[in-house]
Amino acid sequence: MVENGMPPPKCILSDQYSAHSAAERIQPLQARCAGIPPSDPIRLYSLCLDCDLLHRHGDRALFAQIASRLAECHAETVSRRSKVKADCAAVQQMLELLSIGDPDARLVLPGDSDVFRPLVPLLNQVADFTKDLIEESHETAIGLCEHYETLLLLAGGNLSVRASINSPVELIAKLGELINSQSNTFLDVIKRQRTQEHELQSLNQQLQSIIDFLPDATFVIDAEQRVIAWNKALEEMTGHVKETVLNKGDFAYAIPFYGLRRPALINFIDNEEGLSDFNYKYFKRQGNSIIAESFIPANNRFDDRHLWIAASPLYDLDGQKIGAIESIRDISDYKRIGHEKELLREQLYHAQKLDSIGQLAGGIAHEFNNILAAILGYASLIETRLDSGSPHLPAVRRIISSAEKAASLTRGMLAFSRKQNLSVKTVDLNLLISDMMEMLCRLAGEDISVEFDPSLQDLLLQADHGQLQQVVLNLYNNARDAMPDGGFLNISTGAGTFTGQDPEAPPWIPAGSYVKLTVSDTGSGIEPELVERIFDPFFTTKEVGKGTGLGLSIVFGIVQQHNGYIKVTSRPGEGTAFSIWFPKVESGRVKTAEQAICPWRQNRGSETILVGEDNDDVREMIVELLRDLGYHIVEARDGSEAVSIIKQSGGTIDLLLLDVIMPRMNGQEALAAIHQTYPQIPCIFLSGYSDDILQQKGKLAGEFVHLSKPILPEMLAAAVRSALDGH
Amino acid sequence: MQSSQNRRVLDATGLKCPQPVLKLSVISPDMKPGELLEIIGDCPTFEKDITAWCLRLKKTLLSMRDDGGYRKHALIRF
Repeated sequence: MVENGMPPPKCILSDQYSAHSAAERIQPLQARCAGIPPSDPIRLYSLCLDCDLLHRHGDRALFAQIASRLAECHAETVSRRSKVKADCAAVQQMLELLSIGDPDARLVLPGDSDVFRPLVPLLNQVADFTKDLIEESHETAIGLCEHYETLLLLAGGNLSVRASINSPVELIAKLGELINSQSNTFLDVIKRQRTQEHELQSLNQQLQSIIDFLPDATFVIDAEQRVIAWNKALEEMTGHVKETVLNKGDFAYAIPFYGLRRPALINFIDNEEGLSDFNYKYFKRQGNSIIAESFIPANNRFDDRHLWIAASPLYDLDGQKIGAIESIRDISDYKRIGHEKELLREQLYHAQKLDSIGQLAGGIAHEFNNILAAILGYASLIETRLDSGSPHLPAVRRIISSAEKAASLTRGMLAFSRKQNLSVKTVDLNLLISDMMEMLCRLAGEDISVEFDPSLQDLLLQADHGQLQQVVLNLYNNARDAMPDGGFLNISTGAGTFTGQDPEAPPWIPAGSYVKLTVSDTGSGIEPELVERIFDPFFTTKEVGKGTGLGLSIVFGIVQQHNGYIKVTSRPGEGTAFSIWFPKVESGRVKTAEQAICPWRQNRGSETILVGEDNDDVREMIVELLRDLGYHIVEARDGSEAVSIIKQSGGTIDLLLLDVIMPRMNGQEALAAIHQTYPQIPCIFLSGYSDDILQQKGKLAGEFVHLSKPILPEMLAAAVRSALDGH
Repeated sequence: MQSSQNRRVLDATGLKCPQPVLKLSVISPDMKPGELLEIIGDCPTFEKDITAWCLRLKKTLLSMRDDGGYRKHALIRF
């Protein structure tokens, strides 16, 4: 019988179930059994009131027995309840340990109660299972941590690290193997990449070295217009080192000689639009490349430049454009040298032309001089022999005047042909011009202002004083005539030392120290096409009758004969400047004035003079002139005859008058032979022009008197008297 | 994670293992060689896990202080 889900209480005396309800029968007994909670089902022991045992024995002993039994039951119940309670606590603790994941949790029942004993193996089995799970999960976690650490090291570049493959967790071990495998793969790839990078770096270094080696300024840009190469030549050309330009796209600022931010040629590879705005004097496309010549005007930092530029695109293996390269060559020096060569070539051509003309003019002048010498000489003789009232006297004097004009022309031709004899002395250029200034100012007229701007330095040169005066005078006349309406005429002097690199000096002037003479005017100037002809003899732009065309030719010849250089600068409508450079000397005795020539008739004498001259007309004229002056004359037709006569004369000859150029033996050779016997005999040389020998031995010119043909009577008389008197 | 003058502190109390060691690995890249980390935990396997982690990942476990119960302080040099 089951009541309220619980079994009915058994009789404590037997195993019978009470037929009475618990409520009816237990209650009285419980009253006697104080301390037992009536609601405790475990403690619900019953004494069946209908039990036959109770009715049969119904005595005190029985009740004592019952009471004892009840006491035992109670004690037993208390004991059992205590064990159960302890076991329950153990189970509870076990469950708590399991719940927090303590792998060491293990259930041991202190009471070993029947109630919980079945739980022990179950809960311990759960604990073992939990422990396994915990250990595996922790091993997995730490294995993951290890692999994480390994991956961190690999990512940091430590390629030697290896993942652990010894984890008891299979997945973790496999993961370690995978990491190592991938690491090895990456390592191989990285090694290959490093090898390739090294090879690329080596190749790049080689290319950089090649680009650096290039003498032309060179730079390279990539597809994004960034500079990836900038060689040393470009560093020197621009002053910008590569570190300031590399990987930058705006390279225009780094080419400062352009003077402004502007595209480079490299920017016109694909598109020529705007090219014409940037001074490209020459442009040509050759396949993919372009070449150009550019003139860059001077700016505040750089002189003007001529550049030869080439630019070309760069392609990869697939033909894709990946950049471009440009090289710049500064051809300014080449241009300047080319220009100087052209000037030198023109100068040489001009000099050769003038030399040829000079040879011709000199030859003609020489022949003319001999003729003029005879005309002048005989005309002068006739003049002296005619009475002052003779009707022939004007005609004779007209002959002499015309012959002297002709002689002047031949002297000019000789000056141009550089065949004149020079009487070279040390001359102070400033002093020479100062002495001339009064005359020059007087000749200038009212409309022309003449200024002399002398250098403060001593300007000494070796020159023929008279020839140098001729140069100044001719240049002055030329300047004055170029200013018919007036203007400013400036004469200036200066000194300078040329190193061969001076921009202001003409390129044909060698290095050295020079004195400089400049005559400039503000006149009409010379047309460029006429400049190269102005030194030609008989070339003139003046009206007929106003110029012989020999003025500048004479200047040219004299300057050349003095080893000087001349340069003309002229602008039509603005004026002309002639600059002349003469080699400078540092010291010397300056001759300030020419000796005065006495009237020839006062220079008479009675000494014996040997006249050696191969030209019969000239010789006879000289002989007649000198005999008229009272001298005794011995004649010789050449140098050899002169030497023979001297040897036979026994020392009676007082003076030699020898032509420089004679057949068989010239004047120089004759003099040398005579001086071997009579070294004291003075000598006067006569010459139409001096030959090369005399030119080269310029010292003789200073030691012996020279008379240039045509010989004027007064010059001859004065020179002879002077030589005989030992002056 | 807190930081003092010469060490950092990671409070892993309340985290069930193996969460503390996973946390250690997460912050490991931020630790410089020689730097100290103090980690506090209270899970039953805390000491065992920290010891194993240090051994396996080659970090130095300087000390392990038992605060009673499961609560412990570990000091690690990276």
